[in-house]
Amino acid sequence: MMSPLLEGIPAVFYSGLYVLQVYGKLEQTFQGKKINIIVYITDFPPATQIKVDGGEFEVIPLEDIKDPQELEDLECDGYVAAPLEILYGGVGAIMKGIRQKQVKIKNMKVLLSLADILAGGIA
Amino acid sequence: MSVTEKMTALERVLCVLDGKIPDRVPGFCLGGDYDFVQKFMNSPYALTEEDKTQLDKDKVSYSIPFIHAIIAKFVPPDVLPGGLDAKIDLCWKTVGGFNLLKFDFTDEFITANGGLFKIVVRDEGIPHYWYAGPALLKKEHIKTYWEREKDIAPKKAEFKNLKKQRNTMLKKYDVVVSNGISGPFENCVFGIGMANFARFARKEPEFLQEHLDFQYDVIHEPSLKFLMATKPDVVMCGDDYGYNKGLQINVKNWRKFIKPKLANYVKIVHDGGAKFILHSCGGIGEVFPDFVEIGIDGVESLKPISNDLALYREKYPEITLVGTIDDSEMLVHESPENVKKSVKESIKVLGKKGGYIPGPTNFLLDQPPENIVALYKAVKEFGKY
Repeated sequence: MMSPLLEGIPAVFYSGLYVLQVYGKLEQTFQGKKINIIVYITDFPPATQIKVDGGEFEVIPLEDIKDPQELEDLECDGYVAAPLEILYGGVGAIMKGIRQKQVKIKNMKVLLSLADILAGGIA
Repeated sequence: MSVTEKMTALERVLCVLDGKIPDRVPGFCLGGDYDFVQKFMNSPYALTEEDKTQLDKDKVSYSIPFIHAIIAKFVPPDVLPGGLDAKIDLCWKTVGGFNLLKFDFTDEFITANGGLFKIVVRDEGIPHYWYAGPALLKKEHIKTYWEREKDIAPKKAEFKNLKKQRNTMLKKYDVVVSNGISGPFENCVFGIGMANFARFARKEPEFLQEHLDFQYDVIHEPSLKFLMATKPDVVMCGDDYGYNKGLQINVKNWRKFIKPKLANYVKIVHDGGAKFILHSCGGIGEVFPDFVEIGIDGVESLKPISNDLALYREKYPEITLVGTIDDSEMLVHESPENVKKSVKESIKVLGKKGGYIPGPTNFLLDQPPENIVALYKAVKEFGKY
């Protein structure tokens, strides 16, 4: 049996970017900016690196990441690490999570990119 | 609405669901999966930059599997310059968001009904997502699920965009968007599995009833109330009762456990002033008399190989037949010419006196886009009354 290219959270992000790409809207959505971010939903590993450059994108599962602290060593524009429940809770829950040290984040703009990606995905 | 049409899509669809004869047979599309969008966007019918500029300006949703942007492409060119002039009158949209939950007894995603949710990207780079099996395999899992009532309950905010999306499609593109939620059977069985449903129905009916009541009280009734507060004209709820050859469960159990809940759905929707369509895959002829009894206005999917459609038309004139154009054989393998002939024949047999809204029997997946265009062109050509 063929094994899939991606599963789980990396596949969720991939699907959002795929929809934007298949409709020819990827470049427009990110206004031509290069994106290189990492999202780590701590209760649904692995962490996922997302790169967008023009009309192309790449989604890379980071199987070796086991702790949000390890994100500091990786080259990217920004990252966010949090449990699913907090990410679902929206900006309010994330801000509270940052104060309570349940969310690790570098560069708040990562959240805007994430919203754009997920808006393209599953309805 | 196009200048050439005598009725709006809403007038046409409501006229049919009211049991009257409209100006022409309306067309229906449930939506389409990633594969179909990929095929469509690589076909001569793809959305152009000009189309996308207008669709973006009108804030039409591109989301999969409801594909409103692609459905809008089928309008006449006086509505969208690149329009295919094969208008679809009725489509679908369920509540947005994918509410995934985490439970200690599994590492997989669980949806609000307790089912496992799987999303994968295949080797050719096309994503796909589907229900992958029940997660609530033991009684203690079900009891743990009941304890997560707060996480499972629908949030009003999830319903807030439905009205806007309906209005956009209706006012700008003359397409009716029906809205809906999952039905009581699907939500129960997706969570606990068929084997548990059958076992509990036989050995612990009170426990099964308790679970059905929990899901109804916590998910279904509040969801329907939030939905009806948005004032939809047509509600379509999905609840697959059939296999290819008949019901998935004993009809006695369907009548005992499912029918009363489904009747509540219909009542809430009718009390809110909307029509009720049931989407149910498979052979469901055995429960058609029950559908009439509880006042369902239309039944959707109705694959011809699994259902005696001519008999339904004859015996149950109260119910509008929606779908019926075989999505997995005919629309995949036949030529556009044969699709056209088949639609012409279906309209002749099923739509003579109204009561018919043809469309593919499920989400579009691997059908050639030219067959889908042929389908809706045929509805327009042969559907005049």
